[in-house]
Amino acid sequence: MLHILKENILFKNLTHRELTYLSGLVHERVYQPEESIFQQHDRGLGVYLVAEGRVAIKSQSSRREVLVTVLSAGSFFGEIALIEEDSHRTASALAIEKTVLIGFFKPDLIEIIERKPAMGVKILFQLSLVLGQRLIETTEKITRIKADQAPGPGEPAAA
Amino acid sequence: MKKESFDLQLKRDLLKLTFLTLALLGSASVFMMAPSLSSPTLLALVASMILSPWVSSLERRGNSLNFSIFLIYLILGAVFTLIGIWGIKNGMEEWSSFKITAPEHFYAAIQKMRTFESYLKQQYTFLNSLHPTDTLLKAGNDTGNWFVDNGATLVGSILSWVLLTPPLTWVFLSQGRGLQRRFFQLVPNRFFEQYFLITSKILTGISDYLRAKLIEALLLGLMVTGGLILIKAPYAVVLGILAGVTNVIPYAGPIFGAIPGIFLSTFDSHANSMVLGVTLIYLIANLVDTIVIFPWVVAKLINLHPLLLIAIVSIGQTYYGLVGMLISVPIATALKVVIHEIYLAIYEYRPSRTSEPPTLD
Repeated sequence: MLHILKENILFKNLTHRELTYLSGLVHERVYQPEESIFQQHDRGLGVYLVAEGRVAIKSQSSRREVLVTVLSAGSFFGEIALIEEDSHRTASALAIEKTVLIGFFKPDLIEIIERKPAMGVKILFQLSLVLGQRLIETTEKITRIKADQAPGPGEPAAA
Repeated sequence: MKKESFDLQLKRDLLKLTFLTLALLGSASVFMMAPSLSSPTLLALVASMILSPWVSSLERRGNSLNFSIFLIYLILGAVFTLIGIWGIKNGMEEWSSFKITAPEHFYAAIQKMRTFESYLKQQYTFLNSLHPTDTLLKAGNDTGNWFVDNGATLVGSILSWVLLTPPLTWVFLSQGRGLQRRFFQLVPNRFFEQYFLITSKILTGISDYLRAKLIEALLLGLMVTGGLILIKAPYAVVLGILAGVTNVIPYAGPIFGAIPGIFLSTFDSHANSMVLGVTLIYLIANLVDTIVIFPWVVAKLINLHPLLLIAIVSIGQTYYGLVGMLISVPIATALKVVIHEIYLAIYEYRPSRTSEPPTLD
């Protein structure tokens, strides 16, 4: 489990000792093919790291279900729940094949901050980097969509 | 999801749930059937919840978990040894004095009760069929005989508690998290996050309550001891400790704690003039507890309505007596967390904030 944790961006700055401590806190869960990991709107508690297998992230809009992405070993999802108060899942996650996930939850993060603040700061810093990156990507996407929707020179503006 | 796949998962989860229930019931029955093991285990669990933040605080300073626990044990060992030496010295003096004056207290008390009983019977003849003094004497006699018959077993139990509780507390402090994780493996995936959240909240709530009660008991014990020393009342240390210990029982505890002190000062011919003073000390200490300590230290943490608290403690007392009164509030704290989570799941259902595309203008 140590190498999976070490390879993840959230924990890449941790020392071997800190990773060993972390491996004693996280939760390994095994999911069967087509088993739901969580549903959109469920209360969320933390992040899942994909150790083995593949996970489909789906979002249900008012009209239809959209496959957002497929995650494989080394990816992670649900990180917003680590910092958001009273968090609810914004999409559903489903195991495509037999999947092993490593769950790292808010109470675990709080325990690390209380017991080993330096280690907690390293994780929080990496987490903010990830969230910042996601924000940049989202802003770029919105800008692109707005640019596509905007009328070109000489075209009438959409009603 | 295909129907066969859904059915298979449901079967698997139901099987896991059955196994989890059986494991819980099995542990509970072993716990109930082996009181010699369950009492020190429960005590160790309570001690580990109380000590856990201090261990965390030492870990924050860069110490390893086991060294932090060792340091806590060392500090506690030193504190208990010092208190023990001081307590034994004072306690022995008080006990020697009590042994000499006890028969005097006893006969004076019986004499006063008999006089009061005859006075009441002269005034109200319908009370002639009642014999409260004799009933009390018989109850005292029966209790004394019970201690003679069961004294050895009781001492054995206390010794086993003293020997087993510290190592068990160490195990809970150092490996509690791992034991918890192994237990979570039994929980079906679909309930895992909710189960983890509820368990974390319950454990935090109960350990906060236990620590708050400990601080409250300590402060009350100090106030009573200090007050009794100030008015030069006898057995100040023992009565202060008793007031602190009984204060752990919500609502009825302060009354239980005050009875011995008021009783002693009432029937002690030397301390007769102190009855008012002793009663005032208990009254002031309990008022400070009710008005200042409880609302500021305990109530903030448990966040339960006082009327609800009284009802919970009464229900605990009705079904399980003294133990019921002690465990009723932690159980109510746990129930509150579960009910709150069920409420959130049913009524606070929140459609996704991303279910509708955002407006971009």
